[in-house]
Amino acid sequence: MIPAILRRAVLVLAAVVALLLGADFLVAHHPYFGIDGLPGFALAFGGLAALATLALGAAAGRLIARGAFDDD
Amino acid sequence: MIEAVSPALPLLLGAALAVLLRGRARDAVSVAAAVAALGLVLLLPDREGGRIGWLGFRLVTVAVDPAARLFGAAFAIAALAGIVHALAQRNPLERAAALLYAGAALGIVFAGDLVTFTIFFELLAVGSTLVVWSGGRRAAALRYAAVHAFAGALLIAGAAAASAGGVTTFAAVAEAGPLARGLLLAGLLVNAGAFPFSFWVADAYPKASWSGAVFLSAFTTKAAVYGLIRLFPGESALVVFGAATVVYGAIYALNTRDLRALLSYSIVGQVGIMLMAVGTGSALALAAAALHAFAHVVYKAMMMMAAGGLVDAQGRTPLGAIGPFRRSMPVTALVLAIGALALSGLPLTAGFVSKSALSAALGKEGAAFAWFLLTASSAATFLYAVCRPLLLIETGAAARPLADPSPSRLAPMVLLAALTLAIGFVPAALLGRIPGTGAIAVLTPDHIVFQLAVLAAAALVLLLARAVILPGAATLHDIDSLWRTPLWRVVARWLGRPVATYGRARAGVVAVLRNALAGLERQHGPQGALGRNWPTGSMALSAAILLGATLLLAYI
Repeated sequence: MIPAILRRAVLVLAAVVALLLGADFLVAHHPYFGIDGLPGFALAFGGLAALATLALGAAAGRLIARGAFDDD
Repeated sequence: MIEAVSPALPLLLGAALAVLLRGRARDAVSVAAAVAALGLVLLLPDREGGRIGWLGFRLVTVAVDPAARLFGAAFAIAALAGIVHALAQRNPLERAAALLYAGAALGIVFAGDLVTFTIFFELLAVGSTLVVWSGGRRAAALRYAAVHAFAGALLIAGAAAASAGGVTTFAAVAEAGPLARGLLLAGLLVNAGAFPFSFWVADAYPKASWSGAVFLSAFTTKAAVYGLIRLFPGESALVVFGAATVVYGAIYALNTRDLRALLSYSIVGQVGIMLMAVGTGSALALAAAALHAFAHVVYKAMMMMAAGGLVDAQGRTPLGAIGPFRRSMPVTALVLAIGALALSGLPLTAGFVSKSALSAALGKEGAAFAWFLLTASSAATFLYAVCRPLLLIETGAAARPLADPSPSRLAPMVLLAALTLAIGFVPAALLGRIPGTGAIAVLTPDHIVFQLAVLAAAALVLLLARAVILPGAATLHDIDSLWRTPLWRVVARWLGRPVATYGRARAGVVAVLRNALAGLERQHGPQGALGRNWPTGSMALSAAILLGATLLLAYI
């Protein structure tokens, strides 16, 4: 069951992403490496970077989680 | 005359007086020392000043250039804000230690030779250890002291080896042998909290007092970054250390459930970005690293101040704890929010300005790896600094009502937040003062859309994949777990799972064998249908019936 506030947040963010994608076609890019000047690159790269970070964080989290607050 | 006075001097004098004075006199001297230090940082001319002879060395205690002034301004602002914020702190040791710590940081920045630089780094270790000690967590302070004694030994040995020929200038390091350079580099990397020497940051900073953590967040790691800019510009190993440190900071910040530990891991991650820029080595990259250090000192100090307000509330800072207090502590909540957004590089904040400078510097140098990692780190930072805390935020009423802290604690927080936003709204005011960065375009439509797109995509991915929101823990295993946990316990933990699996398998086999034996027992045991003794009467009757049947068949 998805809380209503999260569903609304997803919808708002999706709208923001769509707006930014549209804006990305309108602005003049000044790329450093070519690919970073493609419209939509920042959205795709940001999403992939977030996925990779979450996957890496989740995998590492199983190993490094230690416990409650360190009173030592 | 003024060019001979190091900005460190008023703070070191203030530290000595803070030991002797009490009450308002100590407060007045502390604030005056910090104001004088800031004034000197802004007024000193761009050249070498004070020179003194000591043990046959010619020490240059004041050497000003744009990088020194920028770091000096950051440290002096943090010292002044931190001292005003700490006026309500009645621990006399912490006040003196904080002034010594701040003075040492400024001494490093304005040092004009290797010996002065190293001496102030040793003072920095002493001051910072006393600040941690003042927090009351003695075991953590001793661990911190051990790490910084080690780093100090590396620095002294490296400085001695580099100046063996009698030349103590910074330029001598570039000409020094690999041993001297290696020792100095290692000493600075430990102080910077670079991976794999990052463990001490999140071990010590969250255990300092509400006021001490502010100073800790500002000085040691950034002084080390300044040292790396001064001694190792363009050192390619720094790109590797920096990249590993960025990844380490993101993974750990994403898994902790303690706000002050999150801020500590975030310091480490941001230092990693600075290291990559220093390793790239162009003049613009070095200026961008210094600019990022400046911005980071400003917004991280105010975030530590805000977190200090929560320490008052419950002694600890579980992530999301601001939830119950957001209405009773609106300024603290707002400052935390501004800091988190600046940390993520949201446009119109100081973080966006410094990250734009870094992006331009790395892009123009063609440092693709560092540039893509910097961009990815913005997404990761937004996840751990904004999105995950929002999803973990606690709801409901506070256990006990709590208001925003007193005006003396609130004012520096608000002023630093205003500075964070002012730099974001008028980047030219800061960029114009740093040589080489004036031409960097910051608030252009393509930069704004690019950064917003990276952050929005990251937030959307997190919301869609919230099933993997990392539960994390308040404390996390780090490299120091190797020596903080007894070896047998680590081995037992590692062996625990295989041993448990073997035990379960063995129990299963034994159960199957027991069932089989029980079945045999039932059929062939003493009471089994096939194994028990039959009564003699029934046997005789059976034999008689058989004999009778045999006789009958014989006669037929």
